Amino acid sequence: MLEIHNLHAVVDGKEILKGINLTIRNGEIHALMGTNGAGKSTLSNVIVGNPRYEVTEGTIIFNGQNLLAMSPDERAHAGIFMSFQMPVEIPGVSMANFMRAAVNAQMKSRGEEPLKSSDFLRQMKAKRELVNIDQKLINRSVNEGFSGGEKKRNEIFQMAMLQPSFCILDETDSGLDVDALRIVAEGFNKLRTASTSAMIITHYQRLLDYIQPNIVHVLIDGKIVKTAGPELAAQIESEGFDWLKD
Amino acid sequence: MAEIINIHSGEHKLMLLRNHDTDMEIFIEDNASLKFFDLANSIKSIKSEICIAIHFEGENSELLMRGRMQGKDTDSILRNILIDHKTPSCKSDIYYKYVLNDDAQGSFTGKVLVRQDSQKTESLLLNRNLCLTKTAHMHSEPLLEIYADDVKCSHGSSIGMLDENALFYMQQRGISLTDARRLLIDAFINEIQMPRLCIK
Ligand SMILES: Nc1ncnc2c1ncn2[C@@H]1O[C@H](COP(=O)(O)OP(=O)(O)OP(=O)(O)O)[C@@H](O)[C@H]1O
Ligand SMILES: [Mg+2]
Repeated sequence: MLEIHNLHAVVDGKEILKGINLTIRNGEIHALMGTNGAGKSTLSNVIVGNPRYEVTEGTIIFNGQNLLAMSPDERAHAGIFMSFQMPVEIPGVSMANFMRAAVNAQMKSRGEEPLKSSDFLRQMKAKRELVNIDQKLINRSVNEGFSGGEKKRNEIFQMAMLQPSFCILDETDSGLDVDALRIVAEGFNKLRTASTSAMIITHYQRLLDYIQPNIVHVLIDGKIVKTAGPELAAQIESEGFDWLKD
Repeated sequence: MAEIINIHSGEHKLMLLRNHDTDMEIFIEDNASLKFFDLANSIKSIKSEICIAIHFEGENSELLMRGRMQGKDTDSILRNILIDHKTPSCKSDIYYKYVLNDDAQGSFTGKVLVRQDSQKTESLLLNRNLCLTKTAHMHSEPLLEIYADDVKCSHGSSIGMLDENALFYMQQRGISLTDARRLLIDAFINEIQMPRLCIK
């Protein structure tokens, strides 16, 4: 369970989050919608511990642990995964070496032995097939020269490898063609267990047709201004945000 | 006194190892190919400051020069390189990379001189550097001085730090900051590969 209380955060001296309260229980899918620049990615980055974002007030508790006191890699080991709105290219670091380092770090954090190469490769293949990502992409450097859609697919591939318990999908649907969107969403649904929870950031209803949220929030200017059921997403799709602004 | 080496026709390899501290002057004759590897990698503190002058004295010869420089603590790694194309139809390809940690100092001054008679010269001079701390210092100065008109020459240089976004991306996947840094540093420096075997 993720519990956010009165969260304020600053980027480059400017306050972006202005008192967020949000609780996501195990097994729940929350959609987060809102105007451009409202602070959705900022909230995501604060949850995963990006050092560029400074928390000035408030708390985040994840399964009883004080998240704000943990390093980004410790948060990942605790089961938190973020699909980046803009995945980073890392020239010279192969997908295989990167994934291996990530998987082994996770095993180590649980006190387990690192995977044997053969087991690791078998796992890579299985997960690759799940999200229908080309072997050729996996042979390259991390995200280097990937198209926008390929990068998003690669995020879900990494999620499949790491099997997080809480996922943030930050506009994973943007840049995906219709087929890719379905494959990625179905991949996510296959990976999900009964206790997996997620915060899904999107501007469009279509992703939510595949991954049905329990709750929809609207974030405007650093504050959650409305929380309701799935019908809220449809209403925003047809009416926009104006009726929610004061 | 500089060490003087003559390179005759045929293929040659030269490798400078860790504690090399004498200047070098190399003369390349006709139809020769020289692969020159320069390695500075600090185990204990190093001061490796040398001048290397390479003169093309004959035609149809090639030079491939690679430098892999890694300094830490108060290491000082300086290379002052002159590539002197005196003769036509020769090629030189020079690429040095530095990784500087702690308070290490690095300097790369490379000059490719293409004299009037050395038509059809091809030369590439590159120096790329990574400073891991704010207190590491790099000076990079690649220069081209060209007096012939039918030549292909280019040069480039960059000094950067580790990409914060890449570090964070890796940490989000559970990789420790130390391991993430290691992966990025290796990715940078491993572009320069040293040969296993060295014949002098
Ligand atoms: N790293 C950063 N450096 C400077 N400003 C930033 C940074 N990250 C966010 N901001 C600023 O904070 C505000 C909120 O940005 P954020 O990315 O959280 O918005 P968002 O809700 O995700 O928008 P979008 O729907 O366009 O993705 C914006 O004004 C943005 O310019
Ligand atoms: Mg965003």
